[in-house]
Amino acid sequence: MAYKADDDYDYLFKVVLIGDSGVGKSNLLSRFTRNEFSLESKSTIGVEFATRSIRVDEKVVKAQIWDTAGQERYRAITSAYYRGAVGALVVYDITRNVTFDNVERWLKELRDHTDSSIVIMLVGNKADVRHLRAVDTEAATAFAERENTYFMETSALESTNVEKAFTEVLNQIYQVVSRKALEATSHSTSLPKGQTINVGKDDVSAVKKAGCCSS
Amino acid sequence: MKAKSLPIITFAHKRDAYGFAVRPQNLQRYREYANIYKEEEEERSERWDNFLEQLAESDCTPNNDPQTEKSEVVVHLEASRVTGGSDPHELNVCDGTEETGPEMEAKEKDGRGHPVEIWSQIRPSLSAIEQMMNHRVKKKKNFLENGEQGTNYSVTSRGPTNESRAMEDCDDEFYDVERSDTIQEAPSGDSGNVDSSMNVAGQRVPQETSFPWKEELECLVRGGLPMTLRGELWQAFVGVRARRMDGYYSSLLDPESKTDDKEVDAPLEDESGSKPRLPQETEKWKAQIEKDLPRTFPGHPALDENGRNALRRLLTAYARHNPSVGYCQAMNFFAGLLLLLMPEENAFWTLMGIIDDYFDGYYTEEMIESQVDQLVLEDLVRERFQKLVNHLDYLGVQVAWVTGPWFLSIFVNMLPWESVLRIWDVILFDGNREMLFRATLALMDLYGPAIVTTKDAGDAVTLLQSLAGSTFDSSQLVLTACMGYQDVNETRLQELRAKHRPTIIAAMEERSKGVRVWRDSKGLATKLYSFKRDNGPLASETKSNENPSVDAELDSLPDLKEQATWLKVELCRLLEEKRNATLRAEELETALMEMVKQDNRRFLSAKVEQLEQEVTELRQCLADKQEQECVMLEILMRVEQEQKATEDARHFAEQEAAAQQHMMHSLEEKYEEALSLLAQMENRAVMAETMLEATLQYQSGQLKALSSPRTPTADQSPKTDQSPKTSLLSRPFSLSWRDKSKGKQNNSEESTDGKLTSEGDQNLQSPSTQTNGHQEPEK
Repeated sequence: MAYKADDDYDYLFKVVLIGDSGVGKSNLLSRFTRNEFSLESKSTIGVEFATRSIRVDEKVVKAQIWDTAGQERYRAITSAYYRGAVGALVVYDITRNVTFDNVERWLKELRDHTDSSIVIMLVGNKADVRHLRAVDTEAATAFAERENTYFMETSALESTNVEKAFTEVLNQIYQVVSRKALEATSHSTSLPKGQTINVGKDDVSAVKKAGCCSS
Repeated sequence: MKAKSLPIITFAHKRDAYGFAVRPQNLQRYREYANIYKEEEEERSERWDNFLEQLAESDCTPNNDPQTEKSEVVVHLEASRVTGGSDPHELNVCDGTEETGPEMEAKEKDGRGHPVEIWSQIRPSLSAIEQMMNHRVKKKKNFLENGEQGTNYSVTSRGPTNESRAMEDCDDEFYDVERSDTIQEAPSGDSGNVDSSMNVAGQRVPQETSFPWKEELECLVRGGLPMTLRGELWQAFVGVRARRMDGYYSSLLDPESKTDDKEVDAPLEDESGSKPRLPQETEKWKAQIEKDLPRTFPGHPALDENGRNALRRLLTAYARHNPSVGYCQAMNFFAGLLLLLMPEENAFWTLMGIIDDYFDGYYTEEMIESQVDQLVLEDLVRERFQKLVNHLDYLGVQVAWVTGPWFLSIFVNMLPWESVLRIWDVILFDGNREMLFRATLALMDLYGPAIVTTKDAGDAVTLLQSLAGSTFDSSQLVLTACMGYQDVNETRLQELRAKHRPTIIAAMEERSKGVRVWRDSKGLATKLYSFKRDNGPLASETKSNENPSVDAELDSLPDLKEQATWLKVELCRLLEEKRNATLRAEELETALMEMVKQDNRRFLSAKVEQLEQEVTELRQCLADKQEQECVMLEILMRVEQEQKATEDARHFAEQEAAAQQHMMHSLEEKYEEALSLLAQMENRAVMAETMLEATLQYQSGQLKALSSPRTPTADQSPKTDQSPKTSLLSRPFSLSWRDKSKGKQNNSEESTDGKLTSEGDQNLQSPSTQTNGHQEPEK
């Protein structure tokens, strides 16, 4: 087929883009994955999907990003896509207060359907439309602190902070995952692992001994 | 009317024949197919022309039926169609311009002069088809009016006000009706369908018995509709005429004229029934519609200011018509598409037919049917594509991730336009969602093998999406879908839907509960409010869950009553948290289990197994090697022994050889000695002979000289006795020897002769005795 897979990667992270309709989720996604922006984008029906690999800490991280429909009634459907997500960008439009007010609901939605360790970033998009700003950066920062999420203001149009926002989320996920992996190796799963290692060692020594004998 | 003229737009190279944008990655393929499309289009319009002509010849009854009053328009339109019949692209031009005629007429006839009302009859040559489809619509209506109450569950959470009359129109009764229909139809086939429909709607069509050309029409539909007829045929398929109520559309758009509504018809009563809530709801749609207007086929040449206004009116009218649906994203695309093919009000009735009827329950607030269909689809995919499903399961991909958007958008924006329209042709003709499933299964069929090669969920989804987006071979797709998946019919689908519906409804109820809980936890005020409402159940729960951590906060509250309420509220929150926590814990546990199971154990055990196998292999190898070694050693020992023996033998042989050599040496010496002795002896013998001869000569000389030889002879007798003896002994030998070696030893003889002659007899005797004495001991 004419299709070519992204080459090797060390980690695969599922990230969802949620937020009210028309806040610019699809453009954030296209900006990040294809470096494209369209003033004439079409409404997202259900979900859309894209991937991009970036480098974090010498590791290649492949981000699987699900862009969801914003209309409220689609939540029943889109929540199915949250499963397995380790990161989320909750997007609002800095020029429309109501989209910011709804962030709380989106967060709730997210926390209901995903693991508690999910990395969440609050994203205030359309930061380029300065003269129409309706949501203060301070208010959003305070809110993000309260909700224990990361926060960034972006502009998909001017391409400001888009890369940074996604990278930051992926980076944080990476931190969480590697921390988890460390914990996992230190206790709970040590039994089976130890066994294997022992077996491995025995085998090696056995082989070596045999080798000595024969030579 | 602007919309009508759309197909003639001189499309830029990035837009297709319909004026829609082609994705850059598909441009090349689109160009390849553009000519095929053109050829297909020509063939198709010819076929349709023939069919419609035959139809007109064979039965004239439909034309005589209710719409005879429009005969002027009929002739007019017929003419326009015939002129353009040869070339579809020119036809578009004709159509676009001529179409204004009937629209104007319609307007004039209407007389009311609503600026927004744009309505036109479809061409009469299609009226037979239209009539057939109208039966279908009427039949359904009749069933509804007879009040068939199936499994009627209320799906809306909007409160009781809304559920009264409106629900009947949009709830799932349609499906129950449809199901009973299809069950009837299934054994008797298509004609049976029509017959039964006629029995139901008998009073309106008394004279007709059947539509013998229905099958032919079905074939034609599957082959695709000609561009020029598509808009009108769609209307005919949906049964727009049977659905239409005069003035309804304009009244929807004119909220002030609400008072008229009640007299118009049933759906309007619903509207007025929910009137008190209307402004609020409209507000909600409005915002979403406004957001989506510029996001509907952005950049399409037809969707300019006027186009968008028409779209806005259409969507608003529909939202008002059916508040249980209101406006749902995706409808903007349908409305936009319809507006490109037909006048505004026609588009409205068509949209209404599609959403209210074909896709009933799909775009409502809960989107129940759309979720049910995904489960049904998953069943069907599992049935048919084992390998693909196994792979998708392995990757953790749900089929619905990709197909959900396909179904919801009825493939708009998901497939190339030609394919979308071809699928729509069939869907609108069938009057149900069979084709959605069939087309999706056909796509799985086409692209399943490629999907199986993907390595992660993202790749699989991306690949399927991009492959679907490049399905330019619309004929292949439609034929595969219709022929290959005929067994996916409405009867089967209804069975599966009935099976899965309870799951979705349960999940939905769970969810709506969750939403309520969320609302409760929003703030203290709302908590208290909701607490007052749900006092009963919470009070009982309070006892079971006492939490000491609340105490600290408790003290800060002054009023006991307030404290109690607050405590209860707090308990609610804690309960909820607990629930969440347990849920999360469960999730985590399962996740952990999975991780341990999948990542660690399987991986490690596989590794162990591998290593063990390696070890056994190595051991085996080792044993073999050792065995070989032993054998080798044995062989080596033997070889060594043999070598030793050989060396000994060699040594011995050498010694022997040396001894023999030595012996040979000595023998040679002796031989030489003997030879020299022999030579000496010979010399002596020769000498002795010579001497003897000389002596004989001398003796004979003396005998001759002496006369009395007796006395001297007697004196010398021992001497003379001796000499003849030797001569007698040696003569035959010496003579013979002399003869033999005369040539050789001539010189030496002469010299020895010379010597020997001077020597005496004594010398002659001694060496011979010497050699004899010497040789004796040696032997």
